[in-house]
Amino acid sequence: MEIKVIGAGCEKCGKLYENVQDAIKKAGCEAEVERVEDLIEIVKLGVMTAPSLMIDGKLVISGRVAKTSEIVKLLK
Amino acid sequence: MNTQLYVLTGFLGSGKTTVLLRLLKELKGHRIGIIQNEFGKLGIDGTILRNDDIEMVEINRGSIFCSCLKLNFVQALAEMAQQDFEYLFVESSGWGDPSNVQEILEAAKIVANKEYDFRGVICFVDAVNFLKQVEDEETTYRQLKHCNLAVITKTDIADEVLIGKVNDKIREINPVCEIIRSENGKMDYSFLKKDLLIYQWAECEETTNSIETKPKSIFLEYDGQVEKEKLHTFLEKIAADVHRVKGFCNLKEIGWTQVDVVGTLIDYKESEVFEKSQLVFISKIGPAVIRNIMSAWETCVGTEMKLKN
Repeated sequence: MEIKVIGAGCEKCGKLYENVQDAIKKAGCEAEVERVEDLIEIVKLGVMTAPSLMIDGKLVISGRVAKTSEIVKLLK
Repeated sequence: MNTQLYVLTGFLGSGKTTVLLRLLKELKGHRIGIIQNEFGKLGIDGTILRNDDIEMVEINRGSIFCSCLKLNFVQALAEMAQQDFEYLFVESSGWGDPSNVQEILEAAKIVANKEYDFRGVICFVDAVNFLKQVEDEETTYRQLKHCNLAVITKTDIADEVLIGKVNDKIREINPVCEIIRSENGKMDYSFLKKDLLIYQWAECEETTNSIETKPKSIFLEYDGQVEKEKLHTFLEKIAADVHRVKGFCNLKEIGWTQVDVVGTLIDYKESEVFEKSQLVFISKIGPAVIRNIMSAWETCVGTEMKLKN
C-alpha cells in the first residue's frame, strides 16, 4: 500500500502524519508512507487543500486532520 | 493577453493600501483584480478597497507565503488567471515574506494551465520607521531582498537626511532594485511601463513565515462613541507594544474615523459608517499585549469594550 500525506508543512499536516503512523500500527498492515511537502508536487497531484491523504493514488481525505480510527477503516 | 501581475510587499503600515488605492484611480477603466492578504481575520483594508470596478479576493488569518496558506494563494491565483484581468495586484500582509513567490507562481501556472505576465515585486519602505524595523524584523529585510522596485513612502513627513539613510540601507540589502519615492500615496507610475524583472537578483528561497513566527493579533470592539483625546492617549500608551494598529472608530467630536498607528505616528482620516468600532492590534510582545491593552484602555478611556482573538 502506498500512502501520501500531503501538506506544505503546517502543524495540521504533522498531526495527520502521526495519525497515519498510528493507524498503520493498529491496522497491522504494511504500507509505505510518504510526506509530500513540496508545493509543486502537491499541485501536480491535483490537491488544492491541505492536509490531505492519498492511498494508492486515490484521494481519501481532503483538507482536514482525520482521526486514527477513521484512517484505520480506510486502510482495511 | 496574459494578466499583468504585481506583488506588493512592505512591512506593516508601510503604505501599501494607500498607494494601491491611488494606483486604482490611476488605472480607472481597466479590468483589475486584487488579492488582498489581510493579517487579522477581518479584512479592514478590504473594506477600504471594496468598490464596483474591481474584483477582489481576500485571504486572511496569516501570510499567503506561509505553508498554511500558500495553497489557498495558489488557488486564488489560478482562479483569477481565468478572468482575463488586465492587471492583478497582490497586496501581501505586512508580515508577508515573499522569498518563495516564484515557487507559488510556478504552482499557479500548473493549476491554471495559464501563465501570468509577472511584472515584479514592489516593496514599500516606510521612511519614518524603516531603519528601526529592519533591525528588529527579518521580514523587512527579506521583503527588500526579493523586490524589483522599492518605493520609499511617507517622504512628506521625513527629512532628507533620514531619507538618504533609508536609501543607503535599501542599497545595502538590495544592490539592484530600482528605488523611487512616494509622497502621501502619490508617486511616479511609469514603472507600469517598465521591465522591472531586469532588477531581479535574489533567488527563490524558503520563506521565514510560519505559525511559530506569526505575530499575535488581537481585536478591540466597542459600541457607542469615545472622545478622540482619550483614544489618542490610549493609542500613545500602547504604541510601543505593537507593530501596527488600524481600524475604524466612532469618535464623539468627529464621528466615524479611520485610525492608523505605525511606530509613533498616529493618523486619523474620515471614514464610512460601521456597525461598531473596531481596532486590530499586531503585537510586538506576543500575548502580553492583551493585558497592556486592557489596562491602558481602563486608564485612558474607561468605557466598556471587548477584546477578541
